[in-house]
Amino acid sequence: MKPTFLRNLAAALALLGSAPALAHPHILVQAKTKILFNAEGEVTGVTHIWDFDKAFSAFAVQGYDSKNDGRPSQADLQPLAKINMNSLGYYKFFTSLVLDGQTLTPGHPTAFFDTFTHDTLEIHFTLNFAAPVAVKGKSFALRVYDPEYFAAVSFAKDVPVTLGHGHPDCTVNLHRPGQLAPAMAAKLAAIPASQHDVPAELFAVTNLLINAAEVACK
Amino acid sequence: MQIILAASPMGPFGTGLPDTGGISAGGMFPGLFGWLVETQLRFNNELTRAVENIRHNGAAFWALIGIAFVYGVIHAVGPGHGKAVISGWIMANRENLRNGIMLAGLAALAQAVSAITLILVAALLLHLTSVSITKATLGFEIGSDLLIIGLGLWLVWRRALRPVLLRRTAIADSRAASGGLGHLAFSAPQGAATSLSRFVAEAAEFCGLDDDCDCGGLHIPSAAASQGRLDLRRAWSVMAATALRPCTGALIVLVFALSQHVLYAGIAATIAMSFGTALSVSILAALVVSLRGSLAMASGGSRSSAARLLLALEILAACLLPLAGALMLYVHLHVS
Repeated sequence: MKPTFLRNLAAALALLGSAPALAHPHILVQAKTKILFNAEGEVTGVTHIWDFDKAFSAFAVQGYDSKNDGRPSQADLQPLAKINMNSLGYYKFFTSLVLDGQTLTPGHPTAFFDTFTHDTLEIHFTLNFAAPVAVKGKSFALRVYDPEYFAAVSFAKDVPVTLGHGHPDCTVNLHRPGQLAPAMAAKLAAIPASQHDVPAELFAVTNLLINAAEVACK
Repeated sequence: MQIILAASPMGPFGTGLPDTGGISAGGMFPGLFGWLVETQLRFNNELTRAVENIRHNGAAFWALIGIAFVYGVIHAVGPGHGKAVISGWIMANRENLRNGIMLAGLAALAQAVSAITLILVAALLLHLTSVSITKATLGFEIGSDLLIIGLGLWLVWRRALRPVLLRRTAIADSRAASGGLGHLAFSAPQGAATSLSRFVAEAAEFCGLDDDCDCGGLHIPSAAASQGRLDLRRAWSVMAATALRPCTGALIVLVFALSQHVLYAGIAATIAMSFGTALSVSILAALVVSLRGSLAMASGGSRSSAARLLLALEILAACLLPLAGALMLYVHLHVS
C-alpha cells in the first residue's frame, strides 16, 4: 500500500474522531439555584430558576401566545411547563448531589411554572430528594449540567447559588464549565468510574463541561 | 467508539430535538472537542445578536451571513446522520469526487429548504406550538431512518448479496457441467479471516462474469472507472434521508427571526449555514473518494490485498448503513 493511502486514512479517521459522542449545544441555560435545608440543617432539595438564551426562548414559546402577540402569559405557558418537567424527568433534572462518593438525584417537582419576560423564557421548579441529606461537617457537590451537552448549563453571574434558611454554616465555591480548578479536577478524578454519569472515556471531556457548586459545611 | 442514546428522543425540555442518535468515536480529542463546543456556543450567541441587530442596522445583514456560514462549517464537524449516510454511500456506491461534492452540496441545501418550509408552514401559517413542531421533526426523523435502512439494504444487496448469489449459481452450473464435486470454498473449515477474504475475493471475482454488475471489469474499480454523472434517480434517496431531518439550530434561528419580525434574515442565515455545512461535508466526501481512489491505485491487479481491502470496505460501508439506520430508529421510537 502506498503512503498516500495511509495519509488519507489517517486524515479521515482524524475527522471522524473529532466528532464527539455528544449533542451539539443548542441551548444556553443560566441557572439560579437555591439549596433548601430543614430545621435539622439537612438538605431537603433545591429550587431552580433557569433562564434560557433569547433564541431558544423564542423557539420554545412559539405558538403558546394565546393573544398571538408574541407575549405568552404564565397561564399560556403552563402546558409547556408541564412538558418541560416531564422531559427533564428523563434527564433527572440535570441535578445531582455528590456526597461521600454517593450520587443522589431528586424526584419530580411538585410546583413549577414558566414565565416569558424580556424575550427570556424562565422555568421555575422545586425538587426534593427522597430523604433529607445530613451534610453537617461535610462537603458535597451540587452538579447542575446536561451530560449530553445539548443544553449548556452554567450558574448565573449574579446570585448563582444561594443557601436556604437553616444551613449549618456552609460556604459555596463555584466551578463553571471550562473553568475547572485543578483541585476540583483532582477531586472529580478520585470518584470511582462506576459513579460517573457518563462512560469513562468521555469523563475527560465532561470534566470540562461540568457545572457544579462545591459546598463545605461546618 | 460510542453509541449515543438520548435519554428521551424529545430532548430534555420536550421542545427542540438534540442531534444525537449517531455513532461517533467520541472523546478521542478532548482538547479539540472543548474548543468546538466553546466555539459553537460563541457562534450561537453571535448569530442571535446579529439577527437582533438587523432590525436597527441593515449592514448587520452581511455580518449575519458571514457568521451563519462559519457556524455551518463548524456545526458539520460533529455528530450527524447526514455525514454517515453520504460517506457510506460514496464508499459503497463508488461515486467520484465531483459526484461526492455535488451530493454533499445538494443534501445540505435540501436540508435548509426543509427547515425553511417547515417553519413557514408550521409556525407562520398554522401557528403551531414548538412542541408540535418538535413532534413533527421527530416524525420526519423516523422517516429518514427508514430511508437510510432501505438505502443500506439496497447497497448490501448490490455489493454483497447479489454477487455471492450469482457466484453460487455459477458454481452450481459448473458442477452440473463438470459433474465433479467442485468447490468446497464455503464449507471448508478454515480460519474465519481466511474464509472472509476468500468469500470477498470470490464475490468480487464473480462480478467480472456478470455484465449487469457494474463492478468495473473486476472488479476493482479504478478512480476513473467509478460512477460517471450523479444518478439523481438513486441519489434522491440519499438527499431525502439527509434533508428530511431539519437541523435544530436552523429551526431555532428561523423561529427567533420570526419573533423579531425579520424572518427574511432567518431564511438567509439558514441558507448561508447550509453552504458552510456543504463545505465541511464536501471535504469529508473528498477524503472518502480519495481514500477509495488510493486503494484502487494501490490495488493494481484485481487479486492484491489492497483490492480485497477496498471491496471489504465497500461491503462494510454498505452493511453499516442499515445498522446505523436501525439504531437511530430504535432511539427515535424509544419514547420512554
